[in-house]
Amino acid sequence: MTERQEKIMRPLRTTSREFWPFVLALALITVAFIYAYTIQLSQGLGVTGLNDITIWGVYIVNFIFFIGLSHAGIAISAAVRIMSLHRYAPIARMAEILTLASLMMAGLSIVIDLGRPDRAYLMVVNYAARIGASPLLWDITAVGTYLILSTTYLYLPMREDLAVCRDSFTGWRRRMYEITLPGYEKGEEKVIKRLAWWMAVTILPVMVMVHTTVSWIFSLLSNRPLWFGAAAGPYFIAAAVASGIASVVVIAAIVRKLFNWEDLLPPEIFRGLGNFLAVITLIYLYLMLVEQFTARYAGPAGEFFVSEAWLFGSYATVFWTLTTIGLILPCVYLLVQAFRPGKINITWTSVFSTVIVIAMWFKRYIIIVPTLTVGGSPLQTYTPSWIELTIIGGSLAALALIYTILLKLIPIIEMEEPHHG
Amino acid sequence: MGRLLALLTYVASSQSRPSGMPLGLIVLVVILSPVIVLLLATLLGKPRSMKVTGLFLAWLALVFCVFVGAVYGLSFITGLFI
Repeated sequence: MTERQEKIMRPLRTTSREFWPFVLALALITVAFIYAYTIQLSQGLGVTGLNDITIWGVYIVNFIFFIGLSHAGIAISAAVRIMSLHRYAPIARMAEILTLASLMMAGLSIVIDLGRPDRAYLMVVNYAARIGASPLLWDITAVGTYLILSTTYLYLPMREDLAVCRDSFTGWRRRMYEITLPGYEKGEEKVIKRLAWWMAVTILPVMVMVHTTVSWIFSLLSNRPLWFGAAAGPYFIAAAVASGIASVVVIAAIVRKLFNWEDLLPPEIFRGLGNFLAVITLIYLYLMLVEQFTARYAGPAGEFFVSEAWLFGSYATVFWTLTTIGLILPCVYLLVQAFRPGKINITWTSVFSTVIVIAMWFKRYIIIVPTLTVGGSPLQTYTPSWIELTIIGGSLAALALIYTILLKLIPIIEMEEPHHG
Repeated sequence: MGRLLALLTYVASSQSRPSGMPLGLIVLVVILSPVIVLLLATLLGKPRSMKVTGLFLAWLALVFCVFVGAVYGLSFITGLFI
């Protein structure tokens, strides 16, 4: 086994003292989430802050947020394969794992939002009859296809590394890796590399469609102010890529520190991601500006009312905090860093990336809730109940738990030495 | 006039036009065509290995079944609480 492989295998072999308390804390929050959801299941959506007017709240916010996170994996990994950006190969798999975990949580968020999830099977049974006119079903089709392809995209190129794991463990872990390697034979990687390249080409348009169909859940509703609009697809995709890339920066910075992977994850990776994040955040701010100009100067009255609520009304504090501290400040920092060759501060890059991720969650809240509370008639208020907050916190903890468990089971960096490029 | 306006508003807000292809079918075609390209590339591209290709197709089928099974499973489990 090479030194590089030894380093990558370290998290699988050794467990720090802090690991189990951390897992326990995440598991406890996840249990609280299951408990809260059980109450919601048995008593109905009346236990939430939702009502007949405000029909969507933090569950849908979480759904869009998780879908957004899932874009990072494929965007990075496909770029590495298709454009031969081998420098970023070390973060490709950790981004793919994020895709998988967040897609699972996105699917769960939709189920949680359903008042009668026991009827979810009807979507499968009545698929042919509904697919023509149901944005929700388009979304499920897009997300389902994306999930199936992403899982395959993660698994196939990983077989080579799983074989290394199998050979370096004994007992139940060896058996576990053996089960994950049906029909494995040495030398299969050439065929798998070709498949992975084609999968990268395939998944990119599916990824774009996923967030386009997510945006259509809102933007095809012509009577909903600030939802209805042709630019919703690019707007949602920009937010998704920004939050996804920012999450990968945070994860990469954490594992770099935890496992002393300074040489495996060199600063150039963070510089490149930071630069890209700055540009995509700038594009997002531009789209926000365009949206506001349209709403305030050319839109119908409803658009103006919702825009007023965003900028000067009951949502102004959240809006201006997320826009200034959450988006503009990180964007300025990352741009300044981009124009200073040789200077990269990984800690601050990851701090500002964290800020962008949090800001993007609240931006989704601002997109969804004000349109329902002040964009229609009669006016309503919406405050998430403790059940909703527990479920939201729990689903984020569940995401972290899934990621942490996978971190201990599979090598999150490809063992193959990356080519220079 | 009011009725006409209401009808026009309804037609304008309708997601599928009576005379055209429903948007849902367009979405379905756009989502599934890359998958068909992928399947063709898997079956016809080189270097080729029937074993790996078979494994790939079996894996796709397995994940698809798990996905649909999960929908049914969740429906059943949540039904126990309602």
